[in-house]
Amino acid sequence: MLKVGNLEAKSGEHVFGYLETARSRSGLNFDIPVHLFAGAEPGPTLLVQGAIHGGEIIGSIAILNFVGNLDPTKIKGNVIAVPVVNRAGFELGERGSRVDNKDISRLFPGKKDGSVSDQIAYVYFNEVIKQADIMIDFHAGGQTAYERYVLFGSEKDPNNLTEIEKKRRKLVVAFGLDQAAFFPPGTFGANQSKSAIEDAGTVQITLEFGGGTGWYKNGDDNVRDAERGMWNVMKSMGMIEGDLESDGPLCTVYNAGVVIWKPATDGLFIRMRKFGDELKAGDVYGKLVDPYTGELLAEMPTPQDGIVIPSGQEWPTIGATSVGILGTIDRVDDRRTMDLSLTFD
Amino acid sequence: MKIGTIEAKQGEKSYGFYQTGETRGHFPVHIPMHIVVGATDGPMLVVQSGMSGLEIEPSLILPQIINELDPSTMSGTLVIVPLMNTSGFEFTQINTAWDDKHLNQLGRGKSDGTVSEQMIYQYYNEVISQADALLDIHSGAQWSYHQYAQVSSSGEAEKSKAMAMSLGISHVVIGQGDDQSMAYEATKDGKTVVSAYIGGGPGLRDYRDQDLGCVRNAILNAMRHLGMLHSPIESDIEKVLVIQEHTVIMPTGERGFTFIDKNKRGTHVKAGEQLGYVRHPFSGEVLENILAPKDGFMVHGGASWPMPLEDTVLAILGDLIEEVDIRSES
Repeated sequence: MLKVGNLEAKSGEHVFGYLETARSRSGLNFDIPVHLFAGAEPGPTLLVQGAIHGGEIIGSIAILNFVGNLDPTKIKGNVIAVPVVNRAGFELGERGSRVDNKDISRLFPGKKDGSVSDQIAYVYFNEVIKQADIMIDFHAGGQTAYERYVLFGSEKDPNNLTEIEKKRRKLVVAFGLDQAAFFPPGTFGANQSKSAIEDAGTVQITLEFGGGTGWYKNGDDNVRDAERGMWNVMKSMGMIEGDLESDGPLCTVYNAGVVIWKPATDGLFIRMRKFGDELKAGDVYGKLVDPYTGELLAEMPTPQDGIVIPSGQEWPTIGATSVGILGTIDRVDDRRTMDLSLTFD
Repeated sequence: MKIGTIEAKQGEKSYGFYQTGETRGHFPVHIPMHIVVGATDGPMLVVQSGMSGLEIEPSLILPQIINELDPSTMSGTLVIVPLMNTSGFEFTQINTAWDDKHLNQLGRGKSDGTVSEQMIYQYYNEVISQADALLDIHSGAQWSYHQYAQVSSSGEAEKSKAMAMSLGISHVVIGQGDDQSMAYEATKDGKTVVSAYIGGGPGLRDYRDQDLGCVRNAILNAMRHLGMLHSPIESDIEKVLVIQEHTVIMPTGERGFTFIDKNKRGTHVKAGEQLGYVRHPFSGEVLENILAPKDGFMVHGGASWPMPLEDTVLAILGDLIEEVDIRSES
């Protein structure tokens, strides 16, 4: 049996419902849509979630396809599938929640007596995340970018991995993409949620997968490969039988510590570099031009040598944000020789 | 040629802001504008883009075209507005920030209206009313992806259609007319008017250079067609398909993830044939199949991103009434 808050699925059942969370001042409820699959046999629990940033929907579509093909009578263990975590952001196609201007993904473990998003994070963390052995968190480029890599937390000591870090290395590769990255400490601000999830014993990866600017040509392929990744992880976890399918035998892992930031000036952004381009310090990643005259307003040089990882803004308007990330190759993992089985007590 | 304070003499280029007012916070209500006056007399073409503050990709190429043009080899006058809705652009929204107006739904504006209505009124009367031709460029913003030119069946339809056929865009749609757009007002005034729908965010990653090249080509070809440039029309397409629009499919009963089959663009579909579907975003259930209400040719245009805004055109159908071999014509 699988119980998540007010929802419950018996062995061999698929149940869809809304996890009760919080209400806003106008009476809107932000209950979270959840699919529960309680396997016919015992086993680990997999959580797949999409759109915790409301406009990042590629994973959501893949999750809908995944749950449509998942038969609980034929799996060992449980699957919790959440196509859209952040309903307020989803409604408006926005990253955060306009209800309280917060980003749920940064709020775990949440607060029982906090704002609406704090309360959502609290319920979701305690009822959903804490039950999961593995958590796959789908992000994407929203409408302004395009991405394709597995993102995971940096390791405290790569020569002395924790049990969670060992499992995560396998999970990164098992998902099936040919590229992955981690941000070394200090690259971006601190993220308490990552620590909270790890402290709860849940092995987590983030998929930065797809996005609006590549949707017309690549949307169908990305949805297909995102679904493929979820099946792969179930195979690694021993929840179903079968061989893993992937982009190829190798997974290149980047230490992605070089960020290209928007300069003080603003205008129309033109990205000049493609995924995989190797840049030297000082090489220009992109530029800003006057939207009316085309005059060059600023160039964005890379501060260090690096390879453009599969990430970054493409839409011509950018906020006060990073527009590109470069990295160095940390390692290349070979699926043909790695043991990708994930076991849980 | 003088528009507001922007002045260009014969054989000159000029650039500035055509200011029509100020907001209550004393920000200027204005339109960035380039004027190029040829060495010899000829027609006046206005090229405008960015009526929506999110249709911004054409402004990546319009200033470059100005730089490329040599007025000494040109006839007539070219006015280019690279991004009309400057406040929408500033605040990343479709409508103007000052008064929440959609600039392409204000017709020819109002002399005593809001600041945007006044802006359109003055612009229409001082710029469009002088023009012989208008090329109104749109993109799909962040939701749609297009490759077609549209003309109205009213006004000087044949003149407009002839210019549309010259642009190098493979689908020319004869529209149903009557709407609140500035293009329609100009059509009623007997101008040669084409609205070109090129590109959009969902194709930005893979087709940016191609789309911007298409915008550039369309403008230069319009100038060639009007006799402002004295070089042959350039086009990498073989045929132009002329489609008499009969159906514009908009979001109907259900909302959710909306998928339209892009592979049906440029093909003939039968009445009742499925063009797309709406899926419940949480349960995955198919809520609605989007069907062709009648036989028709599906235009290369419409929504692509699965979460289109309300009022986003999902697909356009029409009768294929003409197929013109451009190479043999030229």
